[in-house]
Amino acid sequence: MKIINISIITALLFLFIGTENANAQKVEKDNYTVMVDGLGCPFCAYGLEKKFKELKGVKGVKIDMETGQFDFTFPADRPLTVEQVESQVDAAGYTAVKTTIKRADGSIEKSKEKIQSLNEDALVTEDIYVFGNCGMCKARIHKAGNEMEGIATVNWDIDTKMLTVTYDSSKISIEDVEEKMAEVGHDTKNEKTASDVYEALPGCCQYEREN
Amino acid sequence: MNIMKNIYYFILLSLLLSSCKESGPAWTFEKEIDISGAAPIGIDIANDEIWISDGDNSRLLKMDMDGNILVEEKDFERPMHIAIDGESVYIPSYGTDAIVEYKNGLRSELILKDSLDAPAGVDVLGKEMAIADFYNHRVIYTDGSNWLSVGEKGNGDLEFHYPTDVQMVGDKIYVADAYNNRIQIIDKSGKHVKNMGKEEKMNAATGIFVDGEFIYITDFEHDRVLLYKHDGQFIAELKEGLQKPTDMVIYNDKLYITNYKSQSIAVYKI
Repeated sequence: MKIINISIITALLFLFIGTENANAQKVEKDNYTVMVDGLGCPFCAYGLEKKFKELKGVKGVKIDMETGQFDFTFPADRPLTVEQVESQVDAAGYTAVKTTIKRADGSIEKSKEKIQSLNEDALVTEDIYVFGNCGMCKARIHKAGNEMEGIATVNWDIDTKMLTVTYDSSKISIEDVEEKMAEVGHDTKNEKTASDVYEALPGCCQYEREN
Repeated sequence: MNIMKNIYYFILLSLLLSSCKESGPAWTFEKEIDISGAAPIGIDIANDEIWISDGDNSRLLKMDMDGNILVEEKDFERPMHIAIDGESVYIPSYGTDAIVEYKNGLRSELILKDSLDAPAGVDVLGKEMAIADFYNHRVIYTDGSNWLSVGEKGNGDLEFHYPTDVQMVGDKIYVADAYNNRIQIIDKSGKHVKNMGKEEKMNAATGIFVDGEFIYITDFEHDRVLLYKHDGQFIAELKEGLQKPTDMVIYNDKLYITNYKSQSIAVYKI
Protein backbone atom coordinates (compact mmCIF):
# COMPACT_ATOMS: atom_id res chain seq x y z
CA MET A 1 0.00 0.00 0.00
CA LYS A 2 2.84 2.34 0.95
CA ILE A 3 4.60 1.58 -2.35
CA ILE A 4 1.42 2.35 -4.30
CA ASN A 5 1.02 5.69 -2.52
CA ILE A 6 4.62 6.65 -3.26
CA SER A 7 4.15 5.70 -6.93
CA ILE A 8 0.99 7.81 -7.22
CA ILE A 9 2.66 10.82 -5.56
CA THR A 10 5.71 10.45 -7.81
CA ALA A 11 3.53 10.23 -10.93
CA LEU A 12 1.54 13.33 -9.88
CA LEU A 13 4.77 15.17 -9.21
CA PHE A 14 6.10 14.38 -12.71
CA LEU A 15 2.78 15.39 -14.22
CA PHE A 16 2.86 18.72 -12.36
CA ILE A 17 6.47 19.44 -13.36
CA GLY A 18 5.71 18.49 -16.97
CA THR A 19 2.73 20.83 -17.13
CA GLU A 20 4.74 23.68 -15.66
CA ASN A 21 7.51 23.16 -18.22
CA ALA A 22 5.02 23.02 -21.06
CA ASN A 23 3.47 26.30 -19.90
CA ALA A 24 6.88 27.88 -19.61
CA GLN A 25 7.77 26.79 -23.16
CA LYS A 26 4.46 27.88 -24.69
CA VAL A 27 4.90 31.13 -26.57
CA GLU A 28 2.14 33.61 -25.89
CA LYS A 29 0.75 35.14 -29.07
CA ASP A 30 -1.28 38.18 -29.97
CA ASN A 31 -3.94 37.76 -32.66
CA TYR A 32 -4.15 40.40 -35.34
CA THR A 33 -7.06 41.00 -37.71
CA VAL A 34 -6.73 43.62 -40.42
CA MET A 35 -9.52 44.47 -42.82
CA VAL A 36 -7.68 45.19 -46.06
CA ASP A 37 -9.63 46.82 -48.82
CA GLY A 38 -9.22 46.10 -52.52
CA LEU A 39 -7.82 42.59 -52.36
CA GLY A 40 -9.39 41.76 -55.70
CA CYS A 41 -6.21 40.69 -57.43
CA PRO A 42 -4.88 37.37 -56.09
CA PHE A 43 -1.34 37.98 -57.30
CA CYS A 44 -1.06 41.10 -55.17
CA ALA A 45 -2.98 39.62 -52.24
CA TYR A 46 -0.63 36.66 -52.07
CA GLY A 47 2.16 39.21 -52.21
CA LEU A 48 0.81 40.91 -49.08
CA GLU A 49 0.83 37.57 -47.31
CA LYS A 50 4.33 36.83 -48.53
CA LYS A 51 5.71 40.16 -47.41
CA PHE A 52 4.15 39.81 -43.96
CA LYS A 53 5.59 36.34 -43.56
CA GLU A 54 9.02 37.89 -43.94
CA LEU A 55 8.50 39.42 -40.47
CA LYS A 56 10.08 36.86 -38.21
CA GLY A 57 7.44 35.55 -35.88
CA VAL A 58 4.39 36.06 -38.08
CA LYS A 59 2.39 32.83 -38.11
CA GLY A 60 -1.04 31.57 -38.98
CA VAL A 61 -1.56 33.96 -41.89
CA LYS A 62 -5.03 33.76 -43.39
CA ILE A 63 -6.49 35.94 -46.12
CA ASP A 64 -10.15 35.91 -47.01
CA MET A 65 -10.23 37.32 -50.52
CA GLU A 66 -13.96 37.97 -50.43
CA THR A 67 -14.09 39.96 -47.22
CA GLY A 68 -10.54 41.29 -47.28
CA GLN A 69 -9.91 39.92 -43.79
CA PHE A 70 -6.25 39.34 -43.07
CA ASP A 71 -5.39 37.40 -39.89
CA PHE A 72 -2.08 36.49 -38.33
CA THR A 73 -0.42 35.94 -34.97
CA PHE A 74 2.75 37.48 -33.57
CA PRO A 75 4.70 36.78 -30.35
CA ALA A 76 3.20 38.68 -27.44
CA ASP A 77 6.61 39.61 -26.06
CA ARG A 78 7.22 41.70 -29.17
CA PRO A 79 3.84 43.44 -29.53
CA LEU A 80 3.06 45.38 -32.68
CA THR A 81 0.89 48.47 -32.34
CA VAL A 82 -2.15 49.14 -34.51
CA GLU A 83 -0.18 51.92 -36.21
CA GLN A 84 2.78 49.60 -36.93
CA VAL A 85 0.53 46.98 -38.47
CA GLU A 86 -1.32 49.49 -40.61
CA SER A 87 1.86 51.17 -41.77
CA GLN A 88 3.27 47.74 -42.69
CA VAL A 89 0.16 47.06 -44.77
CA ASP A 90 0.36 50.51 -46.34
CA ALA A 91 4.09 50.10 -47.02
CA ALA A 92 3.32 46.92 -48.92
CA GLY A 93 1.03 49.03 -51.09
CA TYR A 94 -2.29 47.94 -49.64
CA THR A 95 -4.94 49.68 -47.61
CA ALA A 96 -5.71 48.79 -44.01
CA VAL A 97 -9.26 49.84 -43.25
CA LYS A 98 -9.58 48.63 -39.70
CA THR A 99 -7.29 46.72 -37.36
CA THR A 100 -8.18 44.72 -34.26
CA ILE A 101 -5.57 43.22 -31.96
CA LYS A 102 -6.49 40.64 -29.35
CA ARG A 103 -3.61 40.58 -26.92
CA ALA A 104 -2.59 37.39 -25.17
CA ASP A 105 -3.73 38.90 -21.85
CA GLY A 106 -7.26 39.29 -23.23
CA SER A 107 -7.19 43.02 -23.87
CA ILE A 108 -8.32 44.37 -27.24
CA GLU A 109 -6.95 47.29 -29.26
CA LYS A 110 -8.57 48.81 -32.34
CA SER A 111 -7.96 51.45 -34.97
CA LYS A 112 -8.99 54.93 -33.95
CA GLU A 113 -12.16 56.17 -35.60
CA LYS A 114 -12.34 59.64 -37.06
CA ILE A 115 -14.55 62.01 -35.08
CA GLN A 116 -15.32 65.35 -36.68
CA SER A 117 -17.97 68.00 -36.93
CA LEU A 118 -18.86 69.42 -40.31
CA ASN A 119 -20.43 72.75 -41.16
CA GLU A 120 -23.49 71.62 -43.14
CA ASP A 121 -23.91 75.06 -44.76
CA ALA A 122 -20.40 74.93 -46.16
CA LEU A 123 -20.63 71.48 -47.75
CA VAL A 124 -19.61 71.45 -51.39
CA THR A 125 -19.59 68.55 -53.88
CA GLU A 126 -17.05 68.47 -56.70
CA ASP A 127 -15.64 65.98 -59.19
CA ILE A 128 -11.95 65.64 -59.90
CA TYR A 129 -10.03 63.26 -62.16
CA VAL A 130 -7.81 60.87 -60.18
CA PHE A 131 -5.55 58.37 -61.94
CA GLY A 132 -5.79 54.74 -60.92
CA ASN A 133 -6.58 51.27 -62.20
CA CYS A 134 -8.24 48.83 -59.91
CA GLY A 135 -10.09 47.97 -56.73
CA MET A 136 -6.94 48.40 -54.71
CA CYS A 137 -6.56 51.92 -56.10
CA LYS A 138 -10.14 52.63 -55.11
CA ALA A 139 -9.52 51.46 -51.56
CA ARG A 140 -6.43 53.65 -51.25
CA ILE A 141 -8.16 56.69 -52.70
CA HIS A 142 -11.17 56.28 -50.43
CA LYS A 143 -9.06 55.79 -47.35
CA ALA A 144 -6.93 58.83 -48.09
CA GLY A 145 -10.04 60.93 -48.61
CA ASN A 146 -11.85 59.67 -45.55
CA GLU A 147 -8.84 60.34 -43.35
CA MET A 148 -8.90 64.02 -44.21
CA GLU A 149 -10.40 66.43 -41.76
CA GLY A 150 -13.38 68.11 -43.41
CA ILE A 151 -14.33 65.34 -45.81
CA ALA A 152 -17.96 64.19 -45.68
CA THR A 153 -17.99 61.56 -48.46
CA VAL A 154 -15.77 60.31 -51.26
CA ASN A 155 -16.54 58.03 -54.17
CA TRP A 156 -14.10 57.13 -56.94
CA ASP A 157 -15.47 55.56 -60.10
CA ILE A 158 -13.11 52.88 -61.38
CA ASP A 159 -14.30 53.30 -65.00
CA THR A 160 -14.46 57.08 -65.34
CA LYS A 161 -11.64 57.75 -62.82
CA MET A 162 -13.73 60.59 -61.42
CA LEU A 163 -13.62 61.19 -57.69
CA THR A 164 -16.80 62.73 -56.35
CA VAL A 165 -16.00 64.42 -53.08
CA THR A 166 -18.23 66.27 -50.66
CA TYR A 167 -16.28 68.44 -48.25
CA ASP A 168 -16.59 71.23 -45.75
CA SER A 169 -15.29 74.24 -47.67
CA SER A 170 -14.75 76.16 -44.42
CA LYS A 171 -12.08 73.62 -43.51
CA ILE A 172 -10.46 72.39 -46.72
CA SER A 173 -10.33 73.09 -50.44
CA ILE A 174 -10.44 70.84 -53.48
CA GLU A 175 -6.72 71.58 -53.95
CA ASP A 176 -6.09 69.96 -50.56
CA VAL A 177 -7.88 66.84 -51.78
CA GLU A 178 -5.77 66.74 -54.94
CA GLU A 179 -2.61 67.11 -52.87
CA LYS A 180 -3.68 64.24 -50.63
CA MET A 181 -4.38 61.98 -53.62
CA ALA A 182 -0.93 62.69 -55.03
CA GLU A 183 0.60 62.08 -51.63
CA VAL A 184 -0.73 58.51 -51.52
CA GLY A 185 0.27 57.68 -55.10
CA HIS A 186 -2.47 58.94 -57.39
CA ASP A 187 -1.88 61.72 -59.89
CA THR A 188 -4.60 64.25 -60.53
CA LYS A 189 -4.75 66.78 -63.35
CA ASN A 190 -3.00 69.33 -61.15
CA GLU A 191 -0.88 67.32 -58.73
CA LYS A 192 1.75 64.69 -59.49
CA THR A 193 2.88 61.89 -57.21
CA ALA A 194 6.56 61.60 -56.34
CA SER A 195 8.26 58.89 -58.43
CA ASP A 196 9.30 56.80 -55.43
CA VAL A 197 5.72 56.76 -54.12
CA TYR A 198 4.39 55.72 -57.52
CA GLU A 199 7.03 53.00 -57.84
CA ALA A 200 6.05 51.60 -54.46
CA LEU A 201 2.45 50.99 -55.56
CA PRO A 202 1.56 47.35 -56.26
CA GLY A 203 1.90 46.37 -59.90
CA CYS A 204 -1.79 46.42 -60.62
CA CYS A 205 -2.09 49.97 -59.30
CA GLN A 206 0.66 51.46 -61.45
CA TYR A 207 -1.53 53.33 -63.89
CA GLU A 208 -0.26 54.84 -67.10
CA ARG A 209 1.03 58.31 -66.25
CA GLU A 210 0.63 61.41 -68.33
CA ASN A 211 3.77 63.44 -68.99
CA MET B 1 -16.57 58.85 -116.66
CA ASN B 2 -13.61 59.41 -114.36
CA ILE B 3 -15.95 59.41 -111.36
CA MET B 4 -17.37 56.04 -112.40
CA LYS B 5 -13.87 54.69 -112.83
CA ASN B 6 -12.88 55.89 -109.35
CA ILE B 7 -15.98 54.32 -107.81
CA TYR B 8 -15.17 51.07 -109.60
CA TYR B 9 -11.59 51.12 -108.26
CA PHE B 10 -12.84 51.96 -104.75
CA ILE B 11 -15.25 49.01 -104.72
CA LEU B 12 -12.56 46.70 -106.07
CA LEU B 13 -10.08 47.87 -103.43
CA SER B 14 -12.67 47.45 -100.67
CA LEU B 15 -13.41 43.91 -101.78
CA LEU B 16 -9.72 43.14 -101.91
CA LEU B 17 -9.12 44.53 -98.42
CA SER B 18 -12.08 42.73 -96.91
CA SER B 19 -10.94 39.45 -98.39
CA CYS B 20 -7.49 40.02 -96.86
CA LYS B 21 -8.91 40.72 -93.39
CA GLU B 22 -8.00 37.91 -91.04
CA SER B 23 -10.57 36.24 -88.91
CA GLY B 24 -9.80 34.22 -85.84
CA PRO B 25 -11.07 30.83 -84.83
CA ALA B 26 -14.83 30.98 -84.37
CA TRP B 27 -14.91 30.21 -80.66
CA THR B 28 -18.40 30.14 -79.22
CA PHE B 29 -19.27 29.81 -75.56
CA GLU B 30 -20.51 26.31 -74.77
CA LYS B 31 -20.83 25.95 -70.99
CA GLU B 32 -19.42 26.74 -67.59
CA ILE B 33 -18.07 23.98 -65.35
CA ASP B 34 -18.78 24.79 -61.71
CA ILE B 35 -15.78 24.25 -59.42
CA SER B 36 -17.16 26.13 -56.40
CA GLY B 37 -14.79 26.13 -53.49
CA ALA B 38 -11.74 26.46 -55.70
CA ALA B 39 -10.27 29.77 -56.80
CA PRO B 40 -8.36 28.69 -59.90
CA ILE B 41 -5.14 30.37 -60.96
CA GLY B 42 -3.64 27.84 -63.39
CA ILE B 43 -4.99 25.07 -65.60
CA ASP B 44 -3.59 22.28 -67.73
CA ILE B 45 -5.23 19.18 -69.18
CA ALA B 46 -3.89 15.75 -70.10
CA ASN B 47 -5.44 12.30 -70.53
CA ASP B 48 -8.97 13.69 -70.10
CA GLU B 49 -8.09 15.03 -66.67
CA ILE B 50 -8.12 18.67 -65.68
CA TRP B 51 -5.46 19.94 -63.29
CA ILE B 52 -6.15 23.14 -61.42
CA SER B 53 -4.05 25.16 -59.01
CA ASP B 54 -6.35 26.56 -56.32
CA GLY B 55 -4.47 29.64 -55.18
CA ASP B 56 -6.68 30.78 -52.32
CA ASN B 57 -6.81 27.36 -50.73
CA SER B 58 -3.25 26.37 -51.64
CA ARG B 59 -4.37 23.14 -53.31
CA LEU B 60 -3.62 21.22 -56.46
CA LEU B 61 -6.73 19.53 -57.84
CA LYS B 62 -7.22 16.84 -60.44
CA MET B 63 -10.70 16.72 -61.90
CA ASP B 64 -12.61 14.80 -64.51
CA MET B 65 -13.85 16.71 -67.53
CA ASP B 66 -17.07 17.58 -65.68
CA GLY B 67 -15.24 19.21 -62.79
CA ASN B 68 -15.60 16.40 -60.27
CA ILE B 69 -12.58 16.30 -58.00
CA LEU B 70 -10.55 13.11 -58.33
CA VAL B 71 -7.47 14.11 -56.35
CA GLU B 72 -7.00 16.89 -53.82
CA GLU B 73 -3.46 17.75 -52.79
CA LYS B 74 -3.31 20.25 -49.93
CA ASP B 75 -0.64 22.41 -48.32
CA PHE B 76 0.95 23.99 -51.34
CA GLU B 77 1.95 27.60 -50.75
CA ARG B 78 -0.12 29.59 -53.23
CA PRO B 79 0.31 27.41 -56.34
CA MET B 80 0.18 29.45 -59.52
CA HIS B 81 0.32 28.73 -63.29
CA ILE B 82 1.04 25.01 -63.57
CA ALA B 83 2.37 22.91 -66.44
CA ILE B 84 2.11 19.22 -67.31
CA ASP B 85 4.99 17.41 -68.95
CA GLY B 86 4.75 13.64 -69.28
CA GLU B 87 3.52 12.21 -66.00
CA SER B 88 4.57 15.22 -63.96
CA VAL B 89 2.74 18.35 -62.96
CA TYR B 90 4.99 21.32 -62.27
CA ILE B 91 3.76 23.83 -59.71
CA PRO B 92 5.25 27.25 -59.05
CA SER B 93 5.03 27.69 -55.30
CA TYR B 94 4.62 31.44 -54.96
CA GLY B 95 4.84 31.43 -51.17
CA THR B 96 7.97 29.33 -50.85
CA ASP B 97 9.90 30.52 -53.92
CA ALA B 98 10.16 27.03 -55.39
CA ILE B 99 9.09 24.89 -58.33
CA VAL B 100 7.52 21.66 -57.15
CA GLU B 101 7.23 18.54 -59.27
CA TYR B 102 4.20 16.37 -58.50
CA LYS B 103 4.43 12.85 -59.88
CA ASN B 104 2.54 9.70 -58.93
CA GLY B 105 1.34 11.27 -55.73
CA LEU B 106 4.80 12.40 -54.62
CA ARG B 107 6.18 15.90 -54.41
CA SER B 108 9.74 17.04 -54.88
CA GLU B 109 11.23 20.49 -55.04
CA LEU B 110 13.35 21.16 -58.11
CA ILE B 111 16.90 22.30 -57.56
CA LEU B 112 17.38 25.57 -59.36
CA LYS B 113 20.58 27.46 -60.07
CA ASP B 114 19.02 30.74 -59.09
CA SER B 115 16.82 32.04 -56.29
CA LEU B 116 13.25 32.98 -57.09
CA ASP B 117 10.98 35.55 -55.50
CA ALA B 118 7.37 34.43 -55.93
CA PRO B 119 7.38 32.27 -59.07
CA ALA B 120 4.04 32.78 -60.80
CA GLY B 121 4.27 30.59 -63.88
CA VAL B 122 6.24 27.66 -65.23
CA ASP B 123 6.48 25.72 -68.47
CA VAL B 124 8.41 22.48 -68.93
CA LEU B 125 9.32 20.60 -72.10
CA GLY B 126 11.59 17.68 -71.32
CA LYS B 127 14.76 19.15 -69.89
CA GLU B 128 13.77 22.67 -70.80
CA MET B 129 12.06 24.93 -68.30
CA ALA B 130 10.92 28.56 -68.28
CA ILE B 131 9.79 30.39 -65.12
CA ALA B 132 8.01 33.70 -64.63
CA ASP B 133 9.79 35.14 -61.59
CA PHE B 134 7.16 37.62 -60.38
CA TYR B 135 8.89 39.87 -57.84
CA ASN B 136 12.24 39.75 -59.63
CA HIS B 137 10.56 40.97 -62.84
CA ARG B 138 12.33 38.46 -64.99
CA VAL B 139 12.08 35.16 -66.86
CA ILE B 140 14.42 32.28 -66.17
CA TYR B 141 15.12 29.68 -68.84
CA THR B 142 17.17 26.50 -68.79
CA ASP B 143 17.84 24.05 -71.59
CA GLY B 144 18.73 21.46 -68.99
CA SER B 145 22.33 22.47 -68.54
CA ASN B 146 22.66 26.23 -69.01
CA TRP B 147 20.63 28.83 -67.15
CA LEU B 148 19.56 32.18 -68.54
CA SER B 149 18.01 35.10 -66.66
CA VAL B 150 16.23 37.64 -68.82
CA GLY B 151 14.77 40.95 -67.74
CA GLU B 152 14.52 43.53 -65.02
CA LYS B 153 11.81 45.84 -63.80
CA GLY B 154 10.60 48.27 -66.42
CA ASN B 155 8.40 48.69 -69.44
CA GLY B 156 10.88 48.56 -72.30
CA ASP B 157 12.05 45.62 -74.38
CA LEU B 158 13.46 42.81 -72.21
CA GLU B 159 11.94 44.51 -69.18
CA PHE B 160 9.01 43.12 -67.25
CA HIS B 161 6.52 44.37 -64.72
CA TYR B 162 5.44 41.38 -62.65
CA PRO B 163 5.44 38.53 -65.21
CA THR B 164 2.83 35.95 -64.26
CA ASP B 165 2.91 33.21 -66.90
CA VAL B 166 5.17 31.73 -69.57
CA GLN B 167 4.95 29.25 -72.41
CA MET B 168 7.64 27.88 -74.70
CA VAL B 169 6.87 27.24 -78.36
CA GLY B 170 9.66 26.45 -80.80
CA ASP B 171 12.61 28.70 -80.10
CA LYS B 172 10.51 31.34 -78.37
CA ILE B 173 9.24 32.07 -74.87
CA TYR B 174 5.89 33.85 -74.61
CA VAL B 175 5.40 35.88 -71.45
CA ALA B 176 2.28 37.31 -69.82
CA ASP B 177 3.87 40.61 -68.80
CA ALA B 178 1.06 41.24 -66.33
CA TYR B 179 1.27 44.84 -65.26
CA ASN B 180 2.88 46.10 -68.42
CA ASN B 181 -0.45 44.89 -69.78
CA ARG B 182 1.08 43.17 -72.77
CA ILE B 183 2.50 39.99 -74.24
CA GLN B 184 6.27 39.98 -74.54
CA ILE B 185 8.06 37.41 -76.68
CA ILE B 186 11.72 36.58 -76.26
CA ASP B 187 13.82 33.84 -77.79
CA LYS B 188 15.68 31.18 -75.90
CA SER B 189 18.97 33.01 -76.25
CA GLY B 190 17.49 35.96 -74.37
CA LYS B 191 16.90 38.26 -77.32
CA HIS B 192 13.79 40.36 -77.60
CA VAL B 193 11.38 39.32 -80.36
CA LYS B 194 8.17 41.26 -80.03
CA ASN B 195 5.66 42.99 -77.77
CA MET B 196 1.94 42.98 -78.45
CA GLY B 197 -1.36 43.93 -76.89
CA LYS B 198 -0.76 47.49 -75.71
CA GLU B 199 -3.48 48.90 -77.98
CA GLU B 200 -6.15 46.78 -76.34
CA LYS B 201 -5.50 48.49 -72.98
CA MET B 202 -5.49 45.35 -70.88
CA ASN B 203 -5.53 45.58 -67.10
CA ALA B 204 -3.38 42.74 -65.80
CA ALA B 205 -2.35 40.27 -68.52
CA THR B 206 -2.25 37.30 -66.20
CA GLY B 207 -2.27 34.08 -68.21
CA ILE B 208 -1.00 33.04 -71.62
CA PHE B 209 -1.59 30.17 -74.02
CA VAL B 210 0.03 29.76 -77.41
CA ASP B 211 -0.64 27.37 -80.27
CA GLY B 212 0.66 27.23 -83.81
CA GLU B 213 -1.75 29.88 -85.04
CA PHE B 214 -2.70 32.16 -82.20
CA ILE B 215 -1.69 33.67 -78.89
CA TYR B 216 -4.30 33.85 -76.14
CA ILE B 217 -4.02 36.18 -73.15
CA THR B 218 -6.32 36.71 -70.16
CA ASP B 219 -7.20 40.30 -69.34
CA PHE B 220 -8.02 39.80 -65.66
CA GLU B 221 -9.70 43.05 -64.68
CA HIS B 222 -11.67 43.39 -67.91
CA ASP B 223 -13.11 39.87 -67.74
CA ARG B 224 -11.94 38.85 -71.21
CA VAL B 225 -9.53 36.76 -73.25
CA LEU B 226 -7.81 38.36 -76.23
CA LEU B 227 -6.55 36.53 -79.32
CA TYR B 228 -3.63 37.60 -81.46
CA LYS B 229 -1.92 36.28 -84.53
CA HIS B 230 1.76 35.59 -84.16
CA ASP B 231 2.55 38.73 -86.13
CA GLY B 232 0.83 40.75 -83.39
CA GLN B 233 -2.46 41.37 -85.18
CA PHE B 234 -5.38 41.54 -82.78
CA ILE B 235 -8.02 39.02 -83.85
CA ALA B 236 -10.80 38.65 -81.33
CA GLU B 237 -12.07 39.17 -77.82
CA LEU B 238 -13.93 36.52 -75.79
CA LYS B 239 -16.09 37.75 -72.91
CA GLU B 240 -19.03 35.44 -72.44
CA GLY B 241 -18.92 33.44 -69.22
CA LEU B 242 -15.71 35.08 -68.01
CA GLN B 243 -15.17 36.61 -64.56
CA LYS B 244 -11.61 37.46 -63.65
CA PRO B 245 -10.01 34.90 -65.95
CA THR B 246 -6.55 33.70 -64.99
CA ASP B 247 -5.43 31.01 -67.42
CA MET B 248 -6.51 28.88 -70.34
CA VAL B 249 -5.66 25.82 -72.41
CA ILE B 250 -6.93 24.21 -75.61
CA TYR B 251 -7.68 20.50 -75.39
CA ASN B 252 -9.47 18.39 -78.02
CA ASP B 253 -10.54 21.48 -79.97
CA LYS B 254 -12.07 23.14 -76.95
CA LEU B 255 -10.84 26.16 -75.08
CA TYR B 256 -10.93 25.94 -71.28
CA ILE B 257 -10.64 29.20 -69.35
CA THR B 258 -10.36 29.40 -65.55
CA ASN B 259 -12.53 31.99 -63.82
CA TYR B 260 -10.98 33.08 -60.55
CA LYS B 261 -13.97 35.08 -59.34
CA SER B 262 -16.85 32.83 -60.34
CA GLN B 263 -14.88 29.70 -59.42
CA SER B 264 -15.58 27.96 -62.67
CA ILE B 265 -14.12 26.88 -65.98
CA ALA B 266 -15.64 28.44 -69.08
CA VAL B 267 -15.62 26.11 -72.09
CA TYR B 268 -15.62 27.40 -75.66
CA LYS B 269 -16.03 25.30 -78.77
CA ILE B 270 -15.18 25.89 -82.41
